[in-house]
Amino acid sequence: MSAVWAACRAMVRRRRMQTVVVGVVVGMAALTLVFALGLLTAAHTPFQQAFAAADGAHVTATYDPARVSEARLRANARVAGVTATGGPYRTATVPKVMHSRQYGLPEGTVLVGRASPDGPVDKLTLRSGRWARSTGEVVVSAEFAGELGVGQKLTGENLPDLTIVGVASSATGTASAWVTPAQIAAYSDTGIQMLYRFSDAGSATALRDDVARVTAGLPRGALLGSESYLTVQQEFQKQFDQILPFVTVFGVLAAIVALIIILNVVSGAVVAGVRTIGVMKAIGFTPAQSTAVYVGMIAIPAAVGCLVGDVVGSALVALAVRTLGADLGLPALPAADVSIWLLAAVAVLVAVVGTALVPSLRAGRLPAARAINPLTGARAGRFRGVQRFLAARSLPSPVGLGLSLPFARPARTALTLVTVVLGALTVTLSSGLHDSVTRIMSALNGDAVPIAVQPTNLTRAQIEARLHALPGTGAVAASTHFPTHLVGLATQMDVVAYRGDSSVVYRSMLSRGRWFRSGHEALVSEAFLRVRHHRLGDTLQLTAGGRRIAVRIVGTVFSADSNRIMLDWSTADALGGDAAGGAHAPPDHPAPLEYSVALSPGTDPDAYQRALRRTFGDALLPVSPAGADSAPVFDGLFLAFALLLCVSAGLGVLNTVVLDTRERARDLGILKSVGMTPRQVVAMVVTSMAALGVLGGLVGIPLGVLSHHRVLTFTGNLIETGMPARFVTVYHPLMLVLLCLAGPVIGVLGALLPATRAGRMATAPALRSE
Amino acid sequence: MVHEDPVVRLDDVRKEFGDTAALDGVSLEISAGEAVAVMGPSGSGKSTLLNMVAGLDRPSTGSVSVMGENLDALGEGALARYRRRRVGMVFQFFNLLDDLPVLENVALSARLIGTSAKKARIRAVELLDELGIADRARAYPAVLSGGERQRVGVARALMNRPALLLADEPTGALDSRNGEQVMDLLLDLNQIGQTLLMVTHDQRLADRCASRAVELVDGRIVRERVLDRSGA
Repeated sequence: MSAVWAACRAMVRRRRMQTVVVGVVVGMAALTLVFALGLLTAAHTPFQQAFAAADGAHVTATYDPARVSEARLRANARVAGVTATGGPYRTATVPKVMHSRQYGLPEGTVLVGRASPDGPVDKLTLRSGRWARSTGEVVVSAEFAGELGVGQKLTGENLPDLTIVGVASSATGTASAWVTPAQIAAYSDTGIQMLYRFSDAGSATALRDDVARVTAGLPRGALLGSESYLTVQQEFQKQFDQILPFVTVFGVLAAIVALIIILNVVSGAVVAGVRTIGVMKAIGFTPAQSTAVYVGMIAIPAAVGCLVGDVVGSALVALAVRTLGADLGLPALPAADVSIWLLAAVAVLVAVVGTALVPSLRAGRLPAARAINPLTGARAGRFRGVQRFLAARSLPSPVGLGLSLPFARPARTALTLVTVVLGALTVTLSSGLHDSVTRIMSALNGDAVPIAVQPTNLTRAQIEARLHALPGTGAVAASTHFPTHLVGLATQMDVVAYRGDSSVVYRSMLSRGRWFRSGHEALVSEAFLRVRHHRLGDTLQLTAGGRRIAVRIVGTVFSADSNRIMLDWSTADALGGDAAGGAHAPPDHPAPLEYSVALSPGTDPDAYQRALRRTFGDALLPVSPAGADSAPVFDGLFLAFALLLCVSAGLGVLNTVVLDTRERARDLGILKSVGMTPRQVVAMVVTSMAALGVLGGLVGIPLGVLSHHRVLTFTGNLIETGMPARFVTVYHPLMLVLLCLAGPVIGVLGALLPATRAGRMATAPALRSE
Repeated sequence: MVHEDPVVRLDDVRKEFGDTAALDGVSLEISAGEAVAVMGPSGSGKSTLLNMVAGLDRPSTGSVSVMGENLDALGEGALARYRRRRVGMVFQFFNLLDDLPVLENVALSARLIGTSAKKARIRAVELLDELGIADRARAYPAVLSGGERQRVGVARALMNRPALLLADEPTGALDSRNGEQVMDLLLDLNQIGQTLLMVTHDQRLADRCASRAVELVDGRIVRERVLDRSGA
């Protein structure tokens, strides 16, 4: 065994390039696998993981301090089934908008007075800054990330000024902002928040019973409201469901690429060493020992690479999951657990050893005399007719020879080709998904600027006149939400009525059919049709305030909200909705009026926003564009996977060229001895891989387009929105032409380094290498 | 083609590999039309000397010039162009490209200097015909005998009509019959004016083909003698 170990160590040291390539490639494979598996695990149960890590509250309850004391609440929490409590914390509601530079804290924001982010229940994760230590300081929820940040000052009429000192996340969204307990006293309309964890919290029924136990004996009306974690979980899971198909597809692609590269690297390294195996047998190694040396030679750098890849992959997945969680407002998710590490390491090492074993066993059985005799002649390459044809064409010699190179090792070429195909496929898929997501986000906003104006001193007509007068305004549509029911159904519908140029402003939201033209027509979401089994042309009976009206479905919009109905303003009037502005709001404090403005071509959106602020001043309320939170999440994922897979594919090419040039060292020496320049050698080698790249691109691009189509359709079905054709047909000719470069770029970049080494290779020693 | 100046000039060439000097102060001139055999035991520096002249290796000190061109001053690209135009090389183990048939192996040198594929193949067929292996033009090196492979190697070396033919143990891997054929071939070439520098252990080869023998021991020239080609 010691001879085998000594030989293993010697070969690992001697074959530095091979050792490095095997280590790096296996490391990349492990990294990719850990990254993909980690993300898949995180995406399957993101909320549960975050909730468990933060000891989230099963129930968040708010009590009336006028009816129940904090001491009583504490005492009541000491009942069977309660495993931990948080609070009591004093809460307050922000009565008016608190403005910052551009955005602000909306009216109704729940403030909680909490001395520390820690505690037995609902441990908060500080995303940035620090916790509030004195009055005048506030920590805002991560749901405001991108709008509010540390250092910004919030001001509101007759309200104490607040300076943002931190941004934090709560697993169950127990508050939108936190201040010190002393600060909360400055507000009227306060409550007491209690956070509970229960031993039995698996269902809504169990939670109802739990709440009944902790509120037993409290005065009537003491409990103002409560929210269970199940509601929050449902909301988050819906967001993650949008990501799941993408992560799954990219994860599977990454795993395939990793496996192919391992196959290519390991089998190539063993095949390249057949002669050494012959020499070892000639000096007395048994076939089994020779095989063991070769498997060991690969396994040593592979194990090191695997370990490093696992560590780096885990760090990357932790970073990605943290970013993902932060973008979706979740507190820190735990990184992939040890089982993922182990699974990836075992899978990679089994693939390595299994792949190494087959050619090693074959080489171990090879007669030593045959393996070491230089006059036996190198094993003939295959597809010689093709090689001869290409070498004899009137192409410049390096090009002709380069084009013929891939045919000498067809199996290796096929594996390399598959990695390039997958690389090109990923680039195509990622680019397409990026464009689709951009179009979807844009469509969710009606390709328009969303605006909300507080009509304190302005009438609706005045606001609309000012909007029309603003330079850059193309079309203006007003919208209002009002509660309506479908006759016979308890669920309240989310009905939005539109006025003005809605058919122009929201044109891009239309999935099927047409925009409504009268008060008796309506649009519904695709999810509405699917969930409620309706079709275009069906009639709906809407009822509100004792009135009833029939509307015909004339089109659908892209939305996952299965309660969404969109109709003309006149229908809202007929149903007793908002005719004058501020539907269902007290007259002294009207609700904000919502508009969407389509800008004239060439208008700068930022300049338009500035003009809006000048025109409306404090009456202009902060509005986030729909989907603003998830767009960076998607783009980050697409970019990460595209980069990872392209680097892997490039490494696959690099490995093939390293093997080819090493095996062909003598051939390269011959070519140089008859006058081929180093540059021509580089050109020849790069040409061979560029040709594979072109072919890989030509195969990978249609596959990428097809995958894009399938992934989007699947996602549309999963989130019940369907997928309108215009979100799918994103590939335009110029984009396809640019994507055609993906394969050759992967091929050329992967080949460049070893090709340059081959060009610089000393000729005389190469000629002696038999 | 006879030049007044020597075709090859080595001036006090020293080549070190680590602590070992493979060549130690070698000076040598070879005139046009000469056939010089470099002889000596294994490790005496014969192949290193040949590699210096072929531009495959560079001296540690001293200079090497061929046809008046100082090889030390040439970069890798220029050395490659020098090899294409000025020299042809014949190797002990033939060094043919296994994946190309005989015809393409031979034509390759001409393709590198920009000769069209058609012209290169015509010239290759002529050479193979002259060397008596035209019928093996479409065969692959692996199926040829040692002698046939070496003749393909010679054909390839002659493809661009080099001023200098270098041969490294050209009969070293051949049986006696094939060795005889290659000796005849080299002699014929020299007799029509081809300058020849060969490295060999084989005294018979030197006696038969060379007009001068240079003996190397431990990287130094220890003896030079004119040969009368009595074996020819």
